[in-house]
Amino acid sequence: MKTTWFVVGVFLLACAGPVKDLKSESPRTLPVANQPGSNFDASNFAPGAGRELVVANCTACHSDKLVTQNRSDRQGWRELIRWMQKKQGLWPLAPQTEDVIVGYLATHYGRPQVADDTRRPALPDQLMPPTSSSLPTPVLKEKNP
Amino acid sequence: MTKKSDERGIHDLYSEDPLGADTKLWGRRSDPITRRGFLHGAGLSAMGAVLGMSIPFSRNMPAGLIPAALADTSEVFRIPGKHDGLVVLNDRPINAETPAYLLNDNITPNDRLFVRNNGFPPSEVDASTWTLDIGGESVRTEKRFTLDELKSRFPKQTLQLQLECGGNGRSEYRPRARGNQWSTGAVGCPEWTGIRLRDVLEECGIRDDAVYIGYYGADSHASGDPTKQAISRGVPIAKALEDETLLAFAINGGEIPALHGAPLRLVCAGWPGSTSGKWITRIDLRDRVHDGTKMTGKAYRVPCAPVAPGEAVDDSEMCIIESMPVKSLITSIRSGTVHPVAEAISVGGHAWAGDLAVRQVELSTDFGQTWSICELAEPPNRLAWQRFEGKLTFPVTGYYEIWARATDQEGRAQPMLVPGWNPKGYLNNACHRVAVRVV
Repeated sequence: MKTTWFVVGVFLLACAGPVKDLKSESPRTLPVANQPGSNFDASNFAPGAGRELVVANCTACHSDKLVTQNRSDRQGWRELIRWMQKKQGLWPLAPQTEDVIVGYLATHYGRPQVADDTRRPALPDQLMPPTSSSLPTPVLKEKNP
Repeated sequence: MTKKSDERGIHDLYSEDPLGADTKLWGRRSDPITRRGFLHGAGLSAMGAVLGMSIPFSRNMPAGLIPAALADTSEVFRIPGKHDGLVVLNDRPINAETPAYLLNDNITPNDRLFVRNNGFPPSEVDASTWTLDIGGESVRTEKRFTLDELKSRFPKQTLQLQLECGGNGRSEYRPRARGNQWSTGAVGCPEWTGIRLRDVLEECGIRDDAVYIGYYGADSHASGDPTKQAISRGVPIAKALEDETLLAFAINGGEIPALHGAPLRLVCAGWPGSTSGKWITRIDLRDRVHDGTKMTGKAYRVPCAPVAPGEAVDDSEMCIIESMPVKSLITSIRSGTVHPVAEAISVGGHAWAGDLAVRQVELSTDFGQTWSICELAEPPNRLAWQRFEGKLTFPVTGYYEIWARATDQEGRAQPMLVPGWNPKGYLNNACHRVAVRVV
């Protein structure tokens, strides 16, 4: 579920149209680490500790909306930062800075409880079959009770 | 009015008030000084019965302690006389549901019938002195019958009748509705033997202004307050007078188990199970909609007009649930089964539709994109569930869900999503899903 959510987030990020085409912009001047700043609207960010760091480090490349329309937990936001650093030219962040940013994002844009976010929950674990990787190679058949 | 639900989970109860939980769950009282043991043995046998073992060092057992065997199984424990697979949703009062794959019998055996209690079952039941009073504003002559009189004076009826809790399926509603988080198993279709309620009511005389019946049982309110009824519901007079509405004194050819309402209970099949009162001692013919416990407020009611998920609904906008909606269960396959791709899979189960019959049952293996029609048997009698059988093949290996969808005789089918949210989480008849890994 976590992975799925993350993929959705990344997909939205990659698809965010009017902001700036992050993927295809070929010869692109990467922002430099010592020049964070706000190039895009940041008015949607919720007030709270860490907001300034988020504005400074995130809105140089994309609008606040790309952030605020997504939800994830600390790990998910951290993975997204890694991905942006690897693929999208986000500068390195000092560990303390990253912690504040991740904390702000997880607090204000945290993952809703998955169970409270659906019109039909997935089947519960006890009703699920074994995963394919956990099955022995020869075909196994279970007799019905 | 603030009303605190008495339906709680074991951990919930113990975390709040350990000593109180001891008393409520088991009737346990421990030594007030040492806070150990079981005063006069109170509660010891009840706890032992659920644990399935005696408690050798019960003298030393500290008060307010959840037995580890129960604490570790996260609320799932066995009830004497019930199948091991029955999932215990709530310990106080006892409520338990049956996993779908254990409901494959066409006639549900006693040990696989779900248990739903609103209060505490009567502790002492003597069938030889049991009486039923018929009264109310709209009765011509109030009468009292002994159990023997009921059995001998009125023609005996044996019918297979399905019972389903109005809250069956509640666990899928979001936002969550409070109450027992039933998944799919609060339903069963045993064979009941009894007499027609109509015959008894007509013997006493029904005035023209009768609109409803209201029952009273010998169970006690979960708070222990003797002035309160655990539950006192009823049905409109038309439903009460149907051929299939029974005062039952036997189930599956034998005595009704204590948990299921011995020695006398109502069976109003096709309506919320709560209309089928247990341990019945009195039935009133009412000149108004019965206003007993759990008839009013939000109990067994849904919004008269559809509401958005989570929306606040005033009590005055809530309407009493009558006939239950169309529904089906796949019972021949246990969800989680592994099946070889080369073989077809046989899929069987039951379908029912409240007061109506089921017209068609379909199965899907592709998340509802295509459906194949099953063979569907006629019900053995009105208000019994109907057997369906189908055969499916899988194109390639992988994860599948087999979905079942029934359609009632008036064309209403089960939805694939959870239907309209309602504050108490009743009437979820979304199609049943069974997961299969095909290898």
